[in-house]
Amino acid sequence: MNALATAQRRTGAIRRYRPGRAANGGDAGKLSSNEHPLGPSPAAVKAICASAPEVHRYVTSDELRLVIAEHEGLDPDRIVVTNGSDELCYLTAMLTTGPGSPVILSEPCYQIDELVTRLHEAEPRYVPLKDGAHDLDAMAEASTGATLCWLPTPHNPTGRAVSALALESFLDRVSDDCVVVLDEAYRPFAGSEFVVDTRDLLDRHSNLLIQRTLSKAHGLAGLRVGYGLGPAELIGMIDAAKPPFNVNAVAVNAAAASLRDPAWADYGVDLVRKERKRFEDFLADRGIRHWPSEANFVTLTVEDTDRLQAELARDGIVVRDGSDLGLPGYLRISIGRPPEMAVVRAAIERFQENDNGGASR
Amino acid sequence: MKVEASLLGQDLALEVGARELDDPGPGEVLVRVEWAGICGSDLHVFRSGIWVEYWPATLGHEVAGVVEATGSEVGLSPGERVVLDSRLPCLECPECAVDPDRCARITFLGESRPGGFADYCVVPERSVHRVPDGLALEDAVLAEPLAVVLHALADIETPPDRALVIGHGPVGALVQIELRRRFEDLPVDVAEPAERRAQLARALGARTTGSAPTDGAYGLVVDAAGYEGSLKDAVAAALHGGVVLVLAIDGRPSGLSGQEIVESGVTLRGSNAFVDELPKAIELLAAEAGRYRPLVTGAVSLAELPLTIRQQLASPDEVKVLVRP
Repeated sequence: MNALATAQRRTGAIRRYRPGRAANGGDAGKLSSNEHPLGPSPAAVKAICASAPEVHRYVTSDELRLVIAEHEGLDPDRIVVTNGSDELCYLTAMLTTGPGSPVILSEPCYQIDELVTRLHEAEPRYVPLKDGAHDLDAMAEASTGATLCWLPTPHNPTGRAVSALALESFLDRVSDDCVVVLDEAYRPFAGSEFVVDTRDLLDRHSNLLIQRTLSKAHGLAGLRVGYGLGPAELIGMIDAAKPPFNVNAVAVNAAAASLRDPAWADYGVDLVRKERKRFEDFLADRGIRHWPSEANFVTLTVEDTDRLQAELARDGIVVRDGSDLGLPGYLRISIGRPPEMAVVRAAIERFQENDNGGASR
Repeated sequence: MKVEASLLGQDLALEVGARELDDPGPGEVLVRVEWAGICGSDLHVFRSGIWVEYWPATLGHEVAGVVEATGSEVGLSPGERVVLDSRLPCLECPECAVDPDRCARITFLGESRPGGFADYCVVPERSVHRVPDGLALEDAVLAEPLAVVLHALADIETPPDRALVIGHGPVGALVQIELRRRFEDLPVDVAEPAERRAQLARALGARTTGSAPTDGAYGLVVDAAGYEGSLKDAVAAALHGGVVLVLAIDGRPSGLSGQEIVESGVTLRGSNAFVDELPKAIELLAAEAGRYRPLVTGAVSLAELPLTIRQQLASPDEVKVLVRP
């Protein structure tokens, strides 16, 4: 078999991931990648600096796994630490799918889920979102014979979340032969009705794998730290397959420091929720359609997204065009610091004034 | 020129409307306001009308903006990004003849002439400091309150065993941040009943309590609250021989007796505004704006200012709110 032809076949169908654009005016104004508005905690920064002289050593994530175990109230053998939660996507797809394996994805889905599905030549079964939310009935129905189901909640790129009750019902309907990956990257920003009892759920569903990340609420996106929670057997297999030093020393130490200092994450999450509520109220007052978000972004739709992006760019604000995310005609706006959000609101007002109020679809 | 401005009436009614602003005269600068911070002292004026010398008043003395135009004899150009010095020395008194920073009749922007809660304001050239490239104006606007805190802490050269900050509004929060910047491992406790403010204090590494501990355990106590009896609490919290730094403005009797001061052995020190710390504050913000950004808990438009002020007067739970005219 021709090696290059194999690589071409596997990559030929994937859509290359495109990161959110940077703002022109430095870090202020970059609302395109759902990053933490304030950055990492002072404790994490201190740990990062303290790690520098030690980076000639190989470091495992064993100690971080213990910190996560305490944080989550789970045994360490139910936890695997990965290089961002994206690495867990790669590992999970590698272990559970292969050419022709049916895999359930919402449409639009989180881009990495689709990328790794296609990379392993699995067969995506797309289930369209209903008003920005997962159609769990249709997903459960489509899961017959599937090996894997990707379920990000709150969902990226819409921000809508699955309630704890609906999730329970869905999991009861999916065969144990299908691994359900519950991607909870945005869980800290969700309301209590959307937050599941992790331990209880894992105890009752042997096919459940939960993804978490320190990129969002802990502000460590640039260091790439995530982890998976699941049944010990599945976690053990992922652990065996992952590269031995998959998370670097600086990231390991920063993540441990950040998890031990939850006050910073709590403050940032509350700041985001307050600004999100304010932004959603503003959009509702202005008649701009958007999905109610449980994440650290709001996805909205207007008649002319290019013109609104241009209006935002005038003030140094960069957002994510929905066409990058499978949602043409939409913009995904990360919740930034209060001054950034004041600038966004002012730009939208200008946009509507120039448009004589014809902004909403 | 006509500008859009917040207007505080003598009856303390606050609205947003048009006001006539004189063109900049010789030695003056017209600044387009990008951001103006709400200070605790602004709330004091909104509540009482104290210190105001003209009506209706346009307050706002924490200002960052862009030079729009200049009068004659000014060494600045339109388009330059600036922050403003809030102090307006009289330039006529004997102290001013020696050093305007020591003016005995000093007034503040907004109280003696229209300030930054407006889309434009006119100030003397000496009030204007350039903002370096790379420092966003939304960060630079924190320079004025940071200068106040740098001045207040200027004499704290060695770290106490532990410090207590009473009140975690903008000044209290900046005190905590600055103490941590200077003395990384100094334990700082914060007494603050408002949950949102206390949450910020914890996020920045403090242990918090709802009221001030009065166990005489702190080598440094900062009264940044100014509630009735806060000064008495501050003295009670201080170690024998400790320092009590008073930054809060409260006109009520403290209830503190001479005997209490004598027996506590504390050094009681007040600090008002700043002298020459504004350039240093700009430099610190330019070096690491992220250290100070968590302070900003809200940002509103000029039209939203009256409602914001009413909310903060009724229940102060924000830390620093910025206004974008």
